[in-house]
Amino acid sequence: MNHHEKLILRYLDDSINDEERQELNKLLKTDKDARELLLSLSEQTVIVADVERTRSLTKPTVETIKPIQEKHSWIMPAVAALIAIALTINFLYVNSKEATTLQANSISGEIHFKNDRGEIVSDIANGDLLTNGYISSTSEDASIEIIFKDQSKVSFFGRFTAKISENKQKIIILEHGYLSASISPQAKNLPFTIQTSTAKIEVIGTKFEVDASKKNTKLTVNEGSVQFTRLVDGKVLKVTSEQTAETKGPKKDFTLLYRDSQPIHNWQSDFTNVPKDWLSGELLEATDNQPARLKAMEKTFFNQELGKELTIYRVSQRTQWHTATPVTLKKNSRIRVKGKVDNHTKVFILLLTKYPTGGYAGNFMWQAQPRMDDEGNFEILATTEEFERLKPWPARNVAELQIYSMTVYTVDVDENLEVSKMEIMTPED
Amino acid sequence: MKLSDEDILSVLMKARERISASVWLILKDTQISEDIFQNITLKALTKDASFNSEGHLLSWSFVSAKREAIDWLRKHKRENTGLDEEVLNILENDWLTRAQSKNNQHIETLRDCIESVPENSRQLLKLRYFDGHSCGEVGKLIGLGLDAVYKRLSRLHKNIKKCMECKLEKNSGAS
Repeated sequence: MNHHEKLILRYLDDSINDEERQELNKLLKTDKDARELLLSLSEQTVIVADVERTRSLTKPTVETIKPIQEKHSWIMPAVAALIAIALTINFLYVNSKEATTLQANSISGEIHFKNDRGEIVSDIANGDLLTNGYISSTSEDASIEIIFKDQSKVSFFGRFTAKISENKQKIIILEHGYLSASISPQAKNLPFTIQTSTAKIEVIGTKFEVDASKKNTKLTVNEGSVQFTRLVDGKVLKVTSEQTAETKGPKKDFTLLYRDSQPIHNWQSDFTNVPKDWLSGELLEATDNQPARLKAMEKTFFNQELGKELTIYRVSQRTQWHTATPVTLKKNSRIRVKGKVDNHTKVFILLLTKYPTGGYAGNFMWQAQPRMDDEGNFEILATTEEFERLKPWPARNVAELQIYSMTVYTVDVDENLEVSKMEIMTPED
Repeated sequence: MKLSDEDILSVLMKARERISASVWLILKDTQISEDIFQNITLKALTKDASFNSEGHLLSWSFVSAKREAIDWLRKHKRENTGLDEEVLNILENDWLTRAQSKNNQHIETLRDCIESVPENSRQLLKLRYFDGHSCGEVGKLIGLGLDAVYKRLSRLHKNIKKCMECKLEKNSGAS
């Protein structure tokens, strides 16, 4: 390792002094190879993060099934290409017609919508009619349900970006994110279609969930069956109730996984070992005296219930990943939060829930001013019965619902909220 | 010709790793880099001005990525990146050239090479770049001195580069 290389590694490690900083700037201004090294290292870092994120989400395969028409391996890429072209042409054709309306429902958190006239709407209200367009969120605590004319429902949770259109055929292009769908019966020649960067999912009528990233698409079917096509080679799987499949896997095989049928009722946050895109907030590393914490970050968004913009300071962790056993609440499940604030202030806890068979089930909120010690530390222990359901409130109470994410926040004033632990525990005997 | 929304998404998704990497180089946080990339995608789709070419869009994206990264530092009262404005501009230009000249196979090959590193090397990469530990912290966790961590990382980066060159050469020979 030469001196220049060490200098770059030390810069990336945030450990250079002023003298070295000047030397580095001079080096980068004049030395193309040094810049090339810096760029290559940065690229490697992003890919390492991608690979680790994917790895941490992958569960061992339980069953492997052989791909359809394995013998004619050259045919399938051609078929895949034709499918992709046909889908694109079909998409362009059916969507060139005047856009019809979709209804927004169950909105929570920060949602952005760009309609087909290119206008941006950030204050969508429940019941608003939307045209075809792009919809997205960058918050782990956000959700929105889109209701199509035939009452097919698609709920998006957390961070996502999708293009939605409803004309003769309903099509969602899911760039990334998590959706849960309940689809009414469709015409066989015009299936409800979800396109991701790695898969095409076609549905005639059923309930299922999709989790998509650029490199992988995971599908879980709750009822009925879904046709799942892997775009890279055109291989097709029929995924049925309680089965999960994903596009990333052994190149020659296309895999099916099974979810554990027994629900779990206990969960605790883990800020250091989960993918960072499951978290909202700034991660503070553990020290000798303190465990790892999440520090609240500011978020301003249009609040449905108040009908105005709201600024909150929040930390959040996603609990749901559909190949893992979901966390299910019971009556009187206990919620514990340990944290710290600068001053006495009201602290809010928000549970974003979904039904076990998919679909948005509501937000449930707890709020109070917790007791603090001299250093501002607090511990909240509440039961789910103490949580109030927020409008809109599809579910009457939280029992038997699954949690997608838990959020802790303060409102309006930044009191430097830090959370070291969030827990869901079974009721006391 | 104006790029459609599908074109914009396609161009940005192809350049995702490099745009995120350009942010990481300033912030050194992979998650915030990814968040900034998402913001840029959203802005590109909702921007009033149109993009008339892939080059135009990419150029705008790298400029926006740099600005958002610097704004993030300012907003969170973090220390400056340490790189001069002039250097950041040169790097921004290098990123653009890289995104336009090296195709996606380059990134996919890099991914293959990183996926195939031995387990102990993977742990080192994970601790340093995914978990975000400093080299000093990594050293403490795996029982090595700071210099030894730098040396191992340096060797690892070189091996990954060698693996990439080998695979890319093989692929170009095959085609």
